Amino acid sequence: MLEIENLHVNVAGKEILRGLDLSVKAGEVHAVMGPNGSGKSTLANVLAGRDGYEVTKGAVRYFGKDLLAMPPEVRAREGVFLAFQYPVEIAGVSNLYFLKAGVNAVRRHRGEPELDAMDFMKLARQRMKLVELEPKLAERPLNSGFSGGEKKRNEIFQMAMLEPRLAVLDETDSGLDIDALRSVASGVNALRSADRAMIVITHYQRLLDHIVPDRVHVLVGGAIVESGDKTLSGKLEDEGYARFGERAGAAPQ
Amino acid sequence: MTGDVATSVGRDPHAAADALLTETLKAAVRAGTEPDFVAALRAEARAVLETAGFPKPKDEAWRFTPLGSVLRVGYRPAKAASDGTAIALQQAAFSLPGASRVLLVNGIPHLVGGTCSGASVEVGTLADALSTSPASVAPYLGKIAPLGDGFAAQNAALFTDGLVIVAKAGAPEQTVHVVHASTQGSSDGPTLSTPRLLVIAERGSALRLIETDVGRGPLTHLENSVTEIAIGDSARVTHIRVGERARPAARVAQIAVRQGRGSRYESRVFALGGALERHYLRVLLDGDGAECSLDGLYLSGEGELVAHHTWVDHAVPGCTSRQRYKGILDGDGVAVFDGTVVVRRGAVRTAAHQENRNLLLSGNAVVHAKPHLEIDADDVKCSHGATVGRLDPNELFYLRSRGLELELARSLLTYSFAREVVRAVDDPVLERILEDRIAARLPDGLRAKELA
Repeated sequence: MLEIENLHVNVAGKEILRGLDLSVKAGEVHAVMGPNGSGKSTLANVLAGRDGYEVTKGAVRYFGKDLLAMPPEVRAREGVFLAFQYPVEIAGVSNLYFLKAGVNAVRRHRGEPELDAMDFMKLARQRMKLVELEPKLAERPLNSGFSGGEKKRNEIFQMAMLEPRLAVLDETDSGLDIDALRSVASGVNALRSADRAMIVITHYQRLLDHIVPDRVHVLVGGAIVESGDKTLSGKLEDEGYARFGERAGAAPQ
Repeated sequence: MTGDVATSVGRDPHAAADALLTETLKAAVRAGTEPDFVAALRAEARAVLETAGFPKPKDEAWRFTPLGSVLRVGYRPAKAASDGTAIALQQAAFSLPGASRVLLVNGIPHLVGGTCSGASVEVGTLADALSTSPASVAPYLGKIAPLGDGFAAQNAALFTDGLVIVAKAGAPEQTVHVVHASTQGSSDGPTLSTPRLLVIAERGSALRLIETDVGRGPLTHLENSVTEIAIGDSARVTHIRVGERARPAARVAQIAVRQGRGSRYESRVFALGGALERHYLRVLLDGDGAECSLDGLYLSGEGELVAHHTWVDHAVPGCTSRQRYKGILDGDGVAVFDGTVVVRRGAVRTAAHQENRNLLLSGNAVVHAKPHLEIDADDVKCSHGATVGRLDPNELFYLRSRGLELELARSLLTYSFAREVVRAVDDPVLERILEDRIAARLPDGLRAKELA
């Protein structure tokens, strides 16, 4: 589904990703772990198409297509979803109306009929239950006055509605207490499926206790330095990133 | 669009830098049968015109409002509209439920009387008031709006009629809807109108004054209005101005308010664009505990200039003022926000807040933001701030990452920036009209409106 080859990315003239390779197949959950400043969020943002990330070398193929050539909205319609580390609050935009526009943009792109207001609401109510999002929150302006946990849950709710083929979860565990973490993780687990892949980006093992990955990659200094199965994350938790030496400390934030 | 006016004037061999002044002095109303205080106002206005004339480019208050193309045009007072025209305009205007509606065509009242006089609010013509009960308007007319510049003087020199709206003491809230229109006959040259409104909210009364436009007006027209509002003790006036996006014409307005003890004035001004549109709002807080809340939204696009000048005068202790002006600029549009808050000596326990936020949608648009505080008292709470910025890239990216195209995401964020002020109108009919007009200004705006 996703093939990242020798990816080099500059942010504000500084090289953050330095030859990253990653291959993800449908149905797989990959965890990308690494210390602060190793390039984890850069990877998430460059996959979703945020401005300000300059790819200097390498390629990203998504179902055989050049992902990097697509504007962010086309990536979304093609099934790429980013759960933001810091979801933005937009007071003047309705959570549900905006999401309906997104969902229907995706459906149009896939050649599926658009959902009318009633079908959309039916689906929304069902998916809210799945991710344990208070229906009241969904009707408020986008993330406006939401707690950290509510914002993350709203991200997973949006993911449930947009039904992506590739979901990138950027530090979804940051700022969550253990109860919120558990409920967000159970929402994510409910969305695992054979035709959907996920990249779970995190600093800590604890999220991976709840979302058990198929593969774990260690990202240090802008490249993947080790890959393994789920046991690798436990090892990292015990030993830290120090053994990856100089590179771990040298990478810029 | 100012350019259009200049071009058409350029073809006129009689065009001269002082053409407007010459025509104004020629047309000035001669003292005749008018009451003494009106004759005195006319004389003073003439003196201002003859000595100072119209604002010069170096006048601080007009520095960012180039007048050259206006002053070179010999606008002449527009003729009164026929009854047929007035009826057609009246029918074209939207109606607000529960409101008494009056029509001003070229500043001249039409269809006033009968239907629009309630028991507790009286709407009459200024000409009637001056001929039958001059003493009722003498304490107010020309006493609230100063003849500070040539435009105020021009209005005072030229008005022949206008509206007098009186909310009787203790009257429960009533809504008066004033519809403005301008017309121009095919053989008329450039025309001028000088609408003059006097609003008196007596002690303890409540009044909603709503002003809207019908039609987009003639191509070469100058509208120079003066509105004076006297708000008695414990009275409340809500004043909503919804401007139609004007044609290549010029609009200059002065709104002057004097507030008594414990009174409240709420202003919601929507200036949706025009070749040259300038609002000057003065509020004198002249009684303990008076409060004013001034909101504005302006849109200025290609070839347009919208200027807001506010002057809030805390003359006595214990008054509160709040100002929030938001602007959206596109193309090579220009906007001016020049807001002054004065706290006089001894005006303790003053609270004044002023906020001006501008959204630039293009690199060629220009905003002149000039917030200004003059504080001459202790124990006051004053704050002000002005921002000029672009759409937040993080917000745009977030919306796009969910599948919304860039243009729709931009319009959605712009629309929601504007809607904060629209909501302050607190009237479903007007809010819908405003929302439609704002959406119509934005690419894919109607879809954006659905998502907000």
